[in-house]
Amino acid sequence: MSEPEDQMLTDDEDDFDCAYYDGDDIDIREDFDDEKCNSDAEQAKIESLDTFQVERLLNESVASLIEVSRITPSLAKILLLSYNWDVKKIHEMLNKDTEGTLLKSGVKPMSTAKRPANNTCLVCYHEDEELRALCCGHGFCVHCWKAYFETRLSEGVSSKISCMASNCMLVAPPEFVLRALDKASLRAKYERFLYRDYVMSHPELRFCVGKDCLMVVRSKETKPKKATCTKCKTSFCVICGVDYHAPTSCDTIKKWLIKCADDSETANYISAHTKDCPQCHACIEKNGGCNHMQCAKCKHHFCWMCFGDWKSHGSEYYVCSRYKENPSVAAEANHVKARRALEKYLHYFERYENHNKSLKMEEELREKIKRKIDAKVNEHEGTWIDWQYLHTAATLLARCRYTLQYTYPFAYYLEKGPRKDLFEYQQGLLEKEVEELAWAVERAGTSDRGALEAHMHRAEHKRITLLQDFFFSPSEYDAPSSSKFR
Amino acid sequence: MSTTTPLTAGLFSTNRFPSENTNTRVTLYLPIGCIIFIVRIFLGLQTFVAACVLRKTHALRGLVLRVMSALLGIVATSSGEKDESVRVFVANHISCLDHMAVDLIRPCLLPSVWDIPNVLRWLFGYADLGVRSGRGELVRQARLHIKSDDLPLLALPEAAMTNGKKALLRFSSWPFEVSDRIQPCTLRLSRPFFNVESTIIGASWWQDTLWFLFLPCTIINVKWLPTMQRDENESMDSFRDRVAQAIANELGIELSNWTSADAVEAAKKYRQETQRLRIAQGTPSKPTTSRTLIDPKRMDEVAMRIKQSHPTVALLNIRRDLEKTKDMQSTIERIKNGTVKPISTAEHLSNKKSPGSSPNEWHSLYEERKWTMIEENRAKYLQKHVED
Amino acid sequence: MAGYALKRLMTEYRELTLHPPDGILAAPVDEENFFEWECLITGPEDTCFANGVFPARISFPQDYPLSPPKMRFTCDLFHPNIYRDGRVCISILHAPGDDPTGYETSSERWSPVQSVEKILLSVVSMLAEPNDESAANVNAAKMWREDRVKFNQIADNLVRKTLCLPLADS
Repeated sequence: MSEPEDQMLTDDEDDFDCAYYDGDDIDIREDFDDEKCNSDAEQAKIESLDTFQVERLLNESVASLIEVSRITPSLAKILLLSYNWDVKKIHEMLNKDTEGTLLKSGVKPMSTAKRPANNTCLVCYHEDEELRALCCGHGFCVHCWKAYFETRLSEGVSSKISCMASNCMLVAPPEFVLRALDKASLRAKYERFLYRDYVMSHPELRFCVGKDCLMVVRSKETKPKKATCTKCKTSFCVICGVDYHAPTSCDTIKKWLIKCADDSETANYISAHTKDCPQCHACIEKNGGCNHMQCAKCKHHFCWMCFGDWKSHGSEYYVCSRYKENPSVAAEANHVKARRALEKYLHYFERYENHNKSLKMEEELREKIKRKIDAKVNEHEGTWIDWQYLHTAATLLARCRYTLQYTYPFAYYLEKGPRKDLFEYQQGLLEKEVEELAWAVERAGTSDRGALEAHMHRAEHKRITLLQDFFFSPSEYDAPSSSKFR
Repeated sequence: MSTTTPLTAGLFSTNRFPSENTNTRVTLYLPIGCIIFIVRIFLGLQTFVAACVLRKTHALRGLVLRVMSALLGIVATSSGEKDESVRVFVANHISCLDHMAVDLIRPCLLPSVWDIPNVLRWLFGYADLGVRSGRGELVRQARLHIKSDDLPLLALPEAAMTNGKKALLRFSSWPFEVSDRIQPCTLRLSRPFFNVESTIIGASWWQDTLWFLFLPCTIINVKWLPTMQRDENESMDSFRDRVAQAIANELGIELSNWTSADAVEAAKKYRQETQRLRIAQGTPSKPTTSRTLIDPKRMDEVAMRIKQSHPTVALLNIRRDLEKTKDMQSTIERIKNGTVKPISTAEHLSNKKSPGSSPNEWHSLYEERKWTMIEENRAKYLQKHVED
Repeated sequence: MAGYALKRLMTEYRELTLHPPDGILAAPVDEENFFEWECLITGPEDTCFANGVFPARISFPQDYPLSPPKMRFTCDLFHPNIYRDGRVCISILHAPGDDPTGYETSSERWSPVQSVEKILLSVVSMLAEPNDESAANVNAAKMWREDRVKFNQIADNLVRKTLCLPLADS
């Protein structure tokens, strides 16, 4: 335990704040209420469904379509699948152009064929086979159908397997496919894929990303808000399915994560030991003796020494004369530019990664605080409720830091200009508050409760300011609603 | 001829005998040398066994090995003061037995670069420090090694042998990353009576070893230079350059910008060149056998080429004749003396066969149709362009 | 699976040998391996490729005809829909679904009822009418659009090359 005097000395600013806020207690209340509704704004409105509930939901759509258009359930499903389960739209389309709609979605055959002479299967050229056909009449033998479905299934295609005849877009309905597949495991696989396709094509449904979690999340959210599965408690972005990432948009975070996966592990090594391809700026490590390099990515031939095109080295065999004449050409603009790009990336990445690490460490801190509260309650130093504010503070710290972490990818992709300046200014403020709050939380229990709450208040306020733009301005930030995850 | 620059720079010798004089001496010595050589092979085996049985740190081992290797004709002398506290030595690289010479004076390990079984590696006194998984791994493991094991590491940062007379190759920087304290040492090799180079460009390690066993004796002098310490603010590269400079100064040679990779390339180039010279001077029987046509694709090309100079002869006939002769020249001869007849295409087309039922027949039919198709289109094309 | 493909390839081979279509030849490279075919395509009349005999290779997958084969010309061919290395980029060689070419869905796709003959006939018509919208060789597409004279000249030289005739001076 640290001495109280010490606390007093270092915390004088907090004391000031404390005095200030003590005067306006009501104000804080209000703000906290405000925050509450703001954190609701982050949370997407969702409904967790299990497999049966999903089936029921889908069947409801099927039933309502059958009601208005009188087609068989399996055809209705194909139709719904190709129009993203929009019953209203399908109904409209059917009213407008029944024939065309059915043709386009592969429900109705474009042309019907006659049975081939002496029952020859046109795929394996066997004669006198028992032929089976979809309603388009293209007959093929049972073996060929089976082999065909198996191949398509192994390619991951299930709901949109069309007839084998060329240019016949007719989709094979599930009953037909299941009848042709003889192995139970394949049938199960087909049904699994089909279910996956149904859910993926439904605009309101998303699979929970939790490991081995079969739940489906239903939401009408259009902004990348946070969804939390009720079963496995995994949180993810309701639009794209990766970790919740406000204030960065779905597209940006995707780009960022890909970039990190490509670079981060080796970024340090790269900056020290490699050079960049002068054409595509991919990083290249020299592992052979020859200076004639070929970029594995863009196939550009260049010279390791001078970064010039290898073509200019024609007759020279292993030695770069350009380099010998003037070694300074090695510092060619391209090279420098690429290196600077890497440095910029590393700047943002390091901060992003640092906050991630801090988050993990503060997770431990939270555990520690929990134990501390238990200990205090056991020693009869106040009730459990009295100490609950410590726990709240740690939770809030995690939340703020999380948001802060995800401001870096956004800032990285933000173009230079007043908007970036403003954003980075706000980011700086939040960063400062978060670090101060972290400091205060670590020493919580001994320091003043009022001071801590003041910190909490300011940090949350800064965080909301940052997110404000993201959730409440309609334009730019919006993620395209089509980017559904797999 | 830019590639031969490392050669002309004098870093490597191309001839084992620098002077004519040595040549005659070696010839005279040959019978004795051979006897010594055979005796030494057996002796060498025993030395090897002794080296394996005795522990590396054992005091007796050094003595035993020194005596035995002296019998093998390898004498290691040392001068200068060796620093027992230093964990990494750095030396120049002049022969394949450098490591052994240093090992005789001060037991040490050399990181192995070859993919050899663990047992063998241990027998030769190499240490596998993961050099094959990259430089980073080597440095990491070497750091661990010098902390845990009491055998110091020997590094030959030139990574390729030179004749040690003109300049040092550019040092690799890994030893300097492993430790901040390094004792440099210089290796000099001399052979009394016979001025034979320890290694030449493009020679393999076993050739060099055989020369060691053949000549009466080889003296390798290891001179320990004062230990060098990396300054606090000094970069890895400048420390490396400082050590390299110290070694070069002691040897009285320069530093060069050539890397081991350049040396390897130069050796490769040299070997290719000598081989080419040998082929150029070699017997004329070789090229004719290599010209034999076996690959059907090649045969197609040759047939097309012959067609260019003998347009009257049907392609199919040329191709079939090539199948028999397997040689372009003889087919051309056969066309000239009339063995291969210039049948006109029209005549050929008239005897269309009906295809049989076996795939074998189909294939010959395909071949026939193929050449006919080319022939026909060629005729059509020419006709059209004459009309134009 | 392979036996299934083999039977089908044998049937196609027989069909092509007994009733060879005009200007097209195809056969397995050797009897040991039925999954690698050699074929010859005659450039269609009245086009710049007329009378050229262009050799190509077709390699079949083990699950042929369920998956499409791959085709590449083994001679030089300067054409908007042929990659520099000779690979042919044509819709019939792609299964429905994957769309690297940007072809419209209406163009003919691979389906198990297609055959070697149909592929080769499609390639012949592709030689006659390049699709410069989805180019595999951008330079060729550009020249086809903008400098037809030069394109024809290059094509003519390629034709001469396949017929082992001396090249025309450019």
